[in-house]
Amino acid sequence: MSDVGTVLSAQRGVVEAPAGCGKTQLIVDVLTEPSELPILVLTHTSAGVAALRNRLLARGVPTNRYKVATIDSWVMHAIGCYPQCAGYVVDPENINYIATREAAIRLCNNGAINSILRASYGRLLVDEYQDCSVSQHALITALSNVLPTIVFGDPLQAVFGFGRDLLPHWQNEVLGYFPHLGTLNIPWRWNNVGAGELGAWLLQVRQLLLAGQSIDLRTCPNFVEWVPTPNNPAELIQTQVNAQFAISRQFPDDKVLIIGDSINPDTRHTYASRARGVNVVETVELKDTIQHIRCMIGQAGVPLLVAIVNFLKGVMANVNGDRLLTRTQSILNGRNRTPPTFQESAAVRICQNGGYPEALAFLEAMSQDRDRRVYRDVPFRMVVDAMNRVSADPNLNLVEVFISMREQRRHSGRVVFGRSIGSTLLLKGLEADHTIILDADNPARKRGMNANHLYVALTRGAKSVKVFSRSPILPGY
Amino acid sequence: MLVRHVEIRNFRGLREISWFPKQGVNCLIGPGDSGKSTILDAIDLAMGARRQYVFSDSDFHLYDISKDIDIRVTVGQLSNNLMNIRYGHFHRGFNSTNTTISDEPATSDEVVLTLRLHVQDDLEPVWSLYSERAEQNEEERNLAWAHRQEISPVRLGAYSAHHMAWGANSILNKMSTDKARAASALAAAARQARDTFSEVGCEGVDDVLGKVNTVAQNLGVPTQQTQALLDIRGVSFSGGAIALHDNRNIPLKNLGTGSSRLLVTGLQNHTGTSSVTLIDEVEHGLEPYRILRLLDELGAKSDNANTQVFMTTHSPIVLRELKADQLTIVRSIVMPAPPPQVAVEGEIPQQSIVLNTVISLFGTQEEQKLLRTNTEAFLAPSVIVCEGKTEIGLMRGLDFNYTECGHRGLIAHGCFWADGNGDPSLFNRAKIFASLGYRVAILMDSDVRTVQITLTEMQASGVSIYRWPQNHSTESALFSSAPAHCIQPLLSIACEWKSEDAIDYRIKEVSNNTYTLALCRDQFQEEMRPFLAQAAGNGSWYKDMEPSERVMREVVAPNWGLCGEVLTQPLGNLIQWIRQAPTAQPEQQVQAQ
Repeated sequence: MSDVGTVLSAQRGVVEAPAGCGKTQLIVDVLTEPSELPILVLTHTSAGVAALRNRLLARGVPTNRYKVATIDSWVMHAIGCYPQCAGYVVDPENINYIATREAAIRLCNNGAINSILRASYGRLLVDEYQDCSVSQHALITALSNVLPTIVFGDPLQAVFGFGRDLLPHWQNEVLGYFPHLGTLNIPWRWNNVGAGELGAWLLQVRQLLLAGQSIDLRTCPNFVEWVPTPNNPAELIQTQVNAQFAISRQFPDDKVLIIGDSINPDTRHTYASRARGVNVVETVELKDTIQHIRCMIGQAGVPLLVAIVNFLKGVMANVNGDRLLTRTQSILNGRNRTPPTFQESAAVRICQNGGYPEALAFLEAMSQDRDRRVYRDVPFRMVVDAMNRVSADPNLNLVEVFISMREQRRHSGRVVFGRSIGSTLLLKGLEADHTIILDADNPARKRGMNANHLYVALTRGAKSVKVFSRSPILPGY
Repeated sequence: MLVRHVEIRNFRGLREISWFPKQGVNCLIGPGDSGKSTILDAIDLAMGARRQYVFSDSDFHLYDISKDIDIRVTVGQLSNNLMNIRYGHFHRGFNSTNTTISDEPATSDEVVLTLRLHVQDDLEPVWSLYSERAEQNEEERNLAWAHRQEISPVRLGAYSAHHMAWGANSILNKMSTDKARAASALAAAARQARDTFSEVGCEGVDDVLGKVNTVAQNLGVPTQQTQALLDIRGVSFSGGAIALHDNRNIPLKNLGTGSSRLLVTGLQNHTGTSSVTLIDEVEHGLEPYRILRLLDELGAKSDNANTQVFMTTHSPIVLRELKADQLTIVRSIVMPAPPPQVAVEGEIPQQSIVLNTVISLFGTQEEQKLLRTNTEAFLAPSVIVCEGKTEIGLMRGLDFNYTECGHRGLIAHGCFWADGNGDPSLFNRAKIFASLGYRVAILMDSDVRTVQITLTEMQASGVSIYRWPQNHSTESALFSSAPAHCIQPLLSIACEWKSEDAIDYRIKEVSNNTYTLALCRDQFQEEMRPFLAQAAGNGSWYKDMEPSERVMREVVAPNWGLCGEVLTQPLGNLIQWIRQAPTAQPEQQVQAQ
């Protein structure tokens, strides 16, 4: 068992924290204890920082007790202070993160900087340690020579780890360096809502998954429902939407997370376009939207309309873009028989050498059309806001404005309301009342879930889990 | 927190100094107007939490407001607050081994912060932290106010009275941890006072109140029943309203300067908060035994690594109590500016350049010995290192003679003598003084053969040497030069000092019993002179301060014009050297401005 005392008295260590077992609460409790120096808390994502900060503010922990940052932002700050000692000058245009971590390690090996770090922080806590890459692990071990360091993580929740920077081996490299202080084992998330049975089942499942064994979805009948995947793809999505509506009818105020394909966002978007009232959890990068925006920049007239229609196709249901463009041409040429609709008139005004103001009017008209529906609200709102700003100040660059809004969003943290669809990567760290897993045993190697993804998916819902799969028994991995 | 480096540019008398002070006591000495107090002021202004100082044109060096005042004080032994990475862009490194500061701390460096005070011609002082990299990146940052108060030094000026009350920058304020409670008690007291005051009323203001009411009514300003009450805001905790009193209710503010300084220093040690103390004229207002007490309290005798004291003094008593390495010599030399290569029309020709030097003693045994034995010399701008006591006696005799005749004495020219303690020690001592920036001359005899290299080396260090020609000892130079009628008084002094037998013996010895004391004294002939000179030298007849002083004062000086060149030429040149001292301005040159 790991408690506040254990964490505060250890010089080095790992606290293993299965999902929903009070890890964040433990961190908050540690930071609540009065201490001479603030505690440095590092995590991976800006969203994680925002979430923890909000939790601390809500608990009323004095802000001088802690300093929360992402590993990378802390590294940038530190090497920015002592570029010569770090032997690295940050070029904001082109940041080599692996090099910045190596530079920060050089700071940790500098005796004078050590004294600065020891005067600044009483202790280091690192959250979500299972997501630390090899180079980040090297940095944290270097820091642990300067500050007492406790890391929190769960190897089964490691779903990141891509690109060149691999994850260190948990058993050999992480536990080989940081002594194991204990594993949290009370499933608070489920106990608190009267679903202790589900919580206990998930702890069992965790052991099975860790051991590489198969799990049977029928062994927790009160809380876990297995739904066989229909063979007909069209039938599949309708069944899934119906299942989701059934939950919403029964618990109208509850949060539902729908976990779709990890790799292909289009399938998730398709689901959202079919299920009214479902939000899409967007990636931080919003890569597809940026691409559309690049096509709009500096454009006017027909090319601008085409770019906007292409963008709308990906965020709005029933755009019928090709028909809209043909109709616009007919209207322009005076060959139309039926009078133009409100939306078509707006499109025509863009074609008559219209710019962003006309585009904004068109977007507004489209969003008000009862036959159409915006199912990706975030990119739609952001494009409208960015365009509004550029219309007000033509000196601004649409892409730059959009990127700055995106960065702002990155730092404000994620909040998910009502019913949302995302992937395990996007929904990790978020919790809801109910979870629906759309495809737990896709045979395609790339699209299937491994043990980690499955565990993360299964542990999102506090009250119920609904799993679509071909077999009730999910194989070991 | 300790001051590691002080850099001052264009501040009052200081054109440019760079100085690495030591921990513990740093006692600044030097001739008047050399900039000692200015250094204290600069440290105080740059580090202090005082904001009320108003800069004026006279704070600029030579009134030249085109050159900014720039004071940089680098502090080490930082508290956690200052060590915090929030000041990361400003942390610098101090290497104590080779006393250098680098812009970023290397692994074995001490982490330091540089506090900068910058004043441009708008006279608006700007306080900030300084590092090269932050300046390059145009990052500006100041110490947080609380941290500035934390490092703010305690200044004991001529008036320490404000420390005897709770007020801004007062030591009592620093000692008070629970200010809020005292403040509310004070506010309550002030309200009571107001109530009592309003009951009793204030005589003599009724008239005024009446007039105010009338005028207000005439103007239609609604003021009814104006009354005179105490203004509570005038009574604040940190406004100096609460002060220490003794058991007879006499405020401690009335303590003498010395006593209050002593008390404040004690309190300062007690709080242990600010570790830097600044004291002008440490001896001010204190009897010798209390000076020692104060120095003790300041930590002059202990090796406390956590405190630092900057003081100035003019007192030999203070100097004698200090260790040599606690001394720093501050000098400022006015150098004539080189003539401009090309005269630019309309340009004001620069008159002179001030060269400021701040040199700390190393604390070697020789320095320590020199300080103990020749304290007064350290307080003079020019030093004559005399070979021994005989030569010192001559100088003292000369000085007395000048004063007796109503002339300005040698000391008044800014000159003091030091005991060289014989050859070769005198050269070491001269070198020490010269390396500290003193103007140094040597007065020595020539009976011992001195290595030519030593003399050359002395000249290279800027030391002027005055000595008798032709291997004369001082005694032989005297007997070679004195006019005939002076031989008898010279012999009398020798007899008083050495006894007649001893003198007689020496004369007989060198003259092969040709002459005797009686003969030389009563029937002096010129052919006796060489024998007397040799006998005097061999017998060291005046080898102490008293006899040689008498010789000069009573015999040689009154007959100066009649004395031979062997004696008068070197001494004359030396006197010339003394009069040329920059500090020895001709009399009556001071003019009212």
